[in-house]
Amino acid sequence: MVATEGKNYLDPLVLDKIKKLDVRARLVVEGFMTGQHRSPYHGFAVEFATHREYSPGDELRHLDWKVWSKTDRLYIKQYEEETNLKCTMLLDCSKSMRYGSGVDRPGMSKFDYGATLAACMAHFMQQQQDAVGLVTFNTQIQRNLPASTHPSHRKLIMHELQQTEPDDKTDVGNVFRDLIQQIGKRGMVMLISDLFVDLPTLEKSLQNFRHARHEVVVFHVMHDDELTFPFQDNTLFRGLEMDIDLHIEPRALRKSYLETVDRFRQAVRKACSVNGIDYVLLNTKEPLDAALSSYLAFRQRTSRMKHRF
Amino acid sequence: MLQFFSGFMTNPGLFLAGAAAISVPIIIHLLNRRKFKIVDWAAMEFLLEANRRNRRRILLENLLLLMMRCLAILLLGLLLARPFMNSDSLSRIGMDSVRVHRIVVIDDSPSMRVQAAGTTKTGLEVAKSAVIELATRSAAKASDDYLTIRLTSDPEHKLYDGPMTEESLGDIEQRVNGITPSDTRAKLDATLQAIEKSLLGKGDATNYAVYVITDLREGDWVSPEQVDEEEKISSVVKRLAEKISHEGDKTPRVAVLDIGGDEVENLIITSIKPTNNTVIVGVEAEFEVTVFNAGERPVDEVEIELVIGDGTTLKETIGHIDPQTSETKTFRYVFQDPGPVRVEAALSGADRLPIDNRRHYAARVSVGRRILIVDGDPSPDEEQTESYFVERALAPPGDYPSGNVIEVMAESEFDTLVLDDYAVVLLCNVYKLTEHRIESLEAWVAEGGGLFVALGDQVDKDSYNDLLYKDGAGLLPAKLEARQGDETHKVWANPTPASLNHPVMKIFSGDLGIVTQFVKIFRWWSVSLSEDGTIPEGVSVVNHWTDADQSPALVEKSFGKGRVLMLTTTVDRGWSDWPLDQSYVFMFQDMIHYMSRRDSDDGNAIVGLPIEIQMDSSKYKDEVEITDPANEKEVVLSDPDSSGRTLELIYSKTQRHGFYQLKLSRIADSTKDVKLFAANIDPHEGRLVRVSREKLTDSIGEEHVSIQQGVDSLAKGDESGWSELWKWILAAAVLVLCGEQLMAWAFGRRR
Repeated sequence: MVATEGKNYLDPLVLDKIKKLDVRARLVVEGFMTGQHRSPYHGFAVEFATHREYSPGDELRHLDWKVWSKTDRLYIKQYEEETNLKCTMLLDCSKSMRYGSGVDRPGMSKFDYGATLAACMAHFMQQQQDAVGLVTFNTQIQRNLPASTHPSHRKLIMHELQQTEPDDKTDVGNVFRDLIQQIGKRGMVMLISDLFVDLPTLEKSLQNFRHARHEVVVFHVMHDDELTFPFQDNTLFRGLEMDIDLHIEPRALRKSYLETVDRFRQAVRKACSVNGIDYVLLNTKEPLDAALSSYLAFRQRTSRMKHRF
Repeated sequence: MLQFFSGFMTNPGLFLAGAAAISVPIIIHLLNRRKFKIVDWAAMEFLLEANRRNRRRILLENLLLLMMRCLAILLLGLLLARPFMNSDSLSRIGMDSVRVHRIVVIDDSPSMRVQAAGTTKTGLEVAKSAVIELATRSAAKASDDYLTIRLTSDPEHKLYDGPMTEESLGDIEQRVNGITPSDTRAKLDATLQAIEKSLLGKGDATNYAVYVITDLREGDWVSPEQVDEEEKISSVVKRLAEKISHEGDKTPRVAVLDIGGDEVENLIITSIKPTNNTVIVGVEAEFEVTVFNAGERPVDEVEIELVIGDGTTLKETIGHIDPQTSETKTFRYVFQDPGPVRVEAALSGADRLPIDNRRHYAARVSVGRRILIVDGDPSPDEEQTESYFVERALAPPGDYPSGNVIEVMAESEFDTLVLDDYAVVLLCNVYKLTEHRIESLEAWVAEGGGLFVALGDQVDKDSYNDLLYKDGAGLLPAKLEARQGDETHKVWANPTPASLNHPVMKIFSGDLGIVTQFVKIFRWWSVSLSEDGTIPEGVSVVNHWTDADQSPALVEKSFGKGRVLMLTTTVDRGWSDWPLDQSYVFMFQDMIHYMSRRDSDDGNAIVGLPIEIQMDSSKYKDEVEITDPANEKEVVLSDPDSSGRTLELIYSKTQRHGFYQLKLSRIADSTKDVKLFAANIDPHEGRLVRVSREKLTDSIGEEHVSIQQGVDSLAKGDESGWSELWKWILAAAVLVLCGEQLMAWAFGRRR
């Protein structure tokens, strides 16, 4: 049931209609989960908790053979599941993230898309008992919800995501320097932003996260308009973050613009790959599962790495 | 400014409008700048970067596009303005495509048979070979030129109208070679007017060239007698030339090509006719042949042959004819049989224009004039009858035939008689006429009959006034008032010597005026011409008596086509002793000639004018067989007129000089009546006097018409003309528009 309908919920156009972020996130995650071959519910790290007596039906592989050899009794080993991942989502809430929320423009704004993504992640990770934290920022940290596994924490995150109004510019330099100290313990850092920042500063900041032994995923949220530049007629472009008006003929500039955008993306991608950072480009037009699957891929990789260590 | 542009374009206004419309793309551009969407844009940095890199290129492209669009608009305006250029300058830049519509008017009047100046060929032959040469050259050049050939003898008809190509060359040659000199006058004015009419509504910028190949004979070019009704030829030429000339033309568009020689020596038979209009069997007919010397030198010993019928040839010689004068020679001949006879006069010597050395006359020989005398006072004693003297005056006894056939009858017989065959009817002292007699008499007079009324003591005044005078509407020229004069014959009056040169009064004219003294008139009727004493229209008093009142003696009235003549005294010795005087005979002989019913057609016409005959539909069938001078027979149907009693035939194909024989079929016995007509060329054609070129140039003006000697300029056919440039402009406009589209597409695509 969910399998047939769930896919639809991944479409941003549909999701946009669901105003409650919590519901939205659940729909996305469950819709995404359905049909996955491997259940992600296996814990990654398990610590011994206690023994209990064997009762028929228990799995034999969990028998503690050492105890049996000493006592000739059958005991089952019990493990305590433990959060081994602390994930902090950094959501850009600068003005530029507002783009795409116009009345004449279907679909989500970049911020909505990013917020939905964040909500989905929070929902998803909570289900896996991972600790999730949220930081909204623009020129400075707007709100910092430290990572927690507590069930009510998710509600808090959802509320915060729904509350936040994008404003002001993005300034990763200062914000991230502060954040690195605040997050402290190594974990996972998810940057959700349109990355309209100074490229060297960004690179530097990302490097700093890596130095602090954080796993970093960059979700580069771009609006479809920004990626394809579909404008035809004479247009006055008003800067959202910059106070500049530009009256141009879009057709004449499309090629050049797209080249510029592409160059920038390549630079970011290169900076990421050099630092071992996952870079995921998200088009607001495309379904969210792309974001989720990339996250999944990341998790599997880190899990393998863990086993190797 | 308009003036300046109109020198080389048809609608300069449109061009200026087009120039003004250049602002349209600019305005559109500015309006477009004003209309824009506003987008709050996030990725401003990238956009700024792109803009910074491309600003100059975009500006350049936009300027280029704007220029193209302005140019397209300008070209469109120019296209509508239809500019033209002199083909000379065009051919210099290799764009010569001048297309000329050549209209050749060939004067094919009889005078074109005269040798052309400086050649052994006739003028017409020169003209023909020039036209063929023109066509051959044009065909070889593969030019677009168009040719129209017209002949002056047939103004409305186009001998040829089409292109000059290899294919049509044979057709042109065949048609041109088929031209024969016509026998009619050149109708130059009508031909030029026809051309003018055919050009109505044609485009302005076509290049027309009109060539008039003519020998410039005065007769064709100057027509003083027609100035009132028709336009002078020179003014028609001038108007036509102005019409087809372009603004600022340097070369005239109408060329008069003069191929006539200056030699004018020529003899012409200008007329041949019998001295008395009627030719009667047994009466010696006199034919007067007039020869005109149209040259500048006197001519001696001109031999004239007169061929009568099929065989008889009479020869006479005129000793000397001065230049520009006519001499007349009289031929006498007695016809033995009635009927139509061909009479042809010819000069035996050859001269420059042989066609006018020959002239035809269709003589209609009749058995005599039938004259009816109605005697109102018959008497057993022959000399006492009213008609005794007049009968003898009209047909004097003796060997010498008078040509008159007299019938005398009394009033009672006259009452129901059919009058058709009579030439003159004389009412002599008739008491009164019945109403239906008067009615048919009126119809007969109106058709051309001659009625002579002599009064006397038998005349019933009231009946005459009521039925014949009818207050001026009837046959009688005047109202009878009372008898005058002395019954005892002691006192008398005389006729007056003729002051007017009236044909009936020839015997009393001039020196013969004294003869009137020997004529004694004792009694007469006093008459009044009208109530108020004025003389009504159509009525004239030919002679008065010498009494105190100057009473009218002879009163004439025109009635329809015929005439009525009233003598206020008697024709016998009752009231005068005139019958005893010689003048009585002369007066009546003259009167008969004058009063004779004449046919509406005298059988002699000018070539080109139609032959018209009228037939009684009860007697003749409507088909008439016509044999023309070339001996070709044709059956023509005549049309009934409105009343249905008369058949009318109008035969207009009299293009050749010579005899036209018409055979009329009788319904009753299917025998045929033959009528003969002769068509002659206009004797003016033979006057080879030419219009001086200077005079012609003066009246037409040099600006638009060139008068040239010879046909060289036609054969070459190389005058320049205006070429329209619209084809080139259209091509340019299409090119510009395509370029604009391509550029816009290319610029758009690249981005």
